[in-house]
Amino acid sequence: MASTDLKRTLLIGITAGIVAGVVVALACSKKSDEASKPPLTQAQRDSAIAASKLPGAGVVGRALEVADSAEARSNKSIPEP
Amino acid sequence: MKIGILGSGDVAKALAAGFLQHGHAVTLGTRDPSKLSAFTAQNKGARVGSFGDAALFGEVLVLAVKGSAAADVIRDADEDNVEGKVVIDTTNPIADAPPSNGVLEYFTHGNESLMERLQREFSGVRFVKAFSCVGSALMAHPKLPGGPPTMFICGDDGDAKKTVGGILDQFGWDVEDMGGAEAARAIEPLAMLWCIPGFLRNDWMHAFKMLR
Repeated sequence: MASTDLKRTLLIGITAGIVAGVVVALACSKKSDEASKPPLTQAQRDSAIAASKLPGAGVVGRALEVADSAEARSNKSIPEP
Repeated sequence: MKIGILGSGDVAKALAAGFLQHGHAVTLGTRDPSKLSAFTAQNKGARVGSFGDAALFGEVLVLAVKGSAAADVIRDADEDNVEGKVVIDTTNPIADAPPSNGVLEYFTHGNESLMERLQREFSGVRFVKAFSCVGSALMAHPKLPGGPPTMFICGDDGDAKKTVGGILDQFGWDVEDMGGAEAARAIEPLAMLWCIPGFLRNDWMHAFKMLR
């Protein structure tokens, strides 16, 4: 009888340990996923506004395209070292 | 009611779909009808024409173009077709410039709104500011956990505001009349504020609500 109780206690303890381990592992993996997400660049944030469908926000997208192509042109004109 | 929508972008299409859902007759005005071919294929009741066609057709007009083009579009529509009509002004005076770290740049200033400029130039038109501070996904029948959001409106003509208030009620909005056209100085910048939660969390499904 005492042996059965001991077995049951051990089984409960082991199960609780496994559950706790899984919970901790999941929490850590979520944190690590969040940490691994690269922060949005300013251009990505600004582009999100262009896609927001706010009245008139389309001009933001076009302005960003113009700014991006101007920057690309300017980068091309820099002589390589 | 006969609705003429000046514009062919997401805002024009979202509002057109909302009006059609409530049994209004809709004509969209555009310089490029091909932009609306997919929309008209899906929304059989919608008609497409020039800006002038839409303005002539509508008892109520909706101005849904970029802010810097708003006056030109009304001129294109022919002022005679617009004179005396209620015009729902959805426009924002967003400058043709990248935002500053997520904050939109306007071509107007604090003591003058785009709607006041339009009202001054087209003095016979009954402008009502509405729908300018929310994305097109929420313009018609917004379903938000906090209940019906508030649309702040303004304009110099009381009857025009009553007409627009009725439309907003059909579209599922609470309405707050903020007074004359000058109040657009306060309403237009709400669009800047509306963008910031999106900028911070990439979440665009929100709207303003007046609580008392």
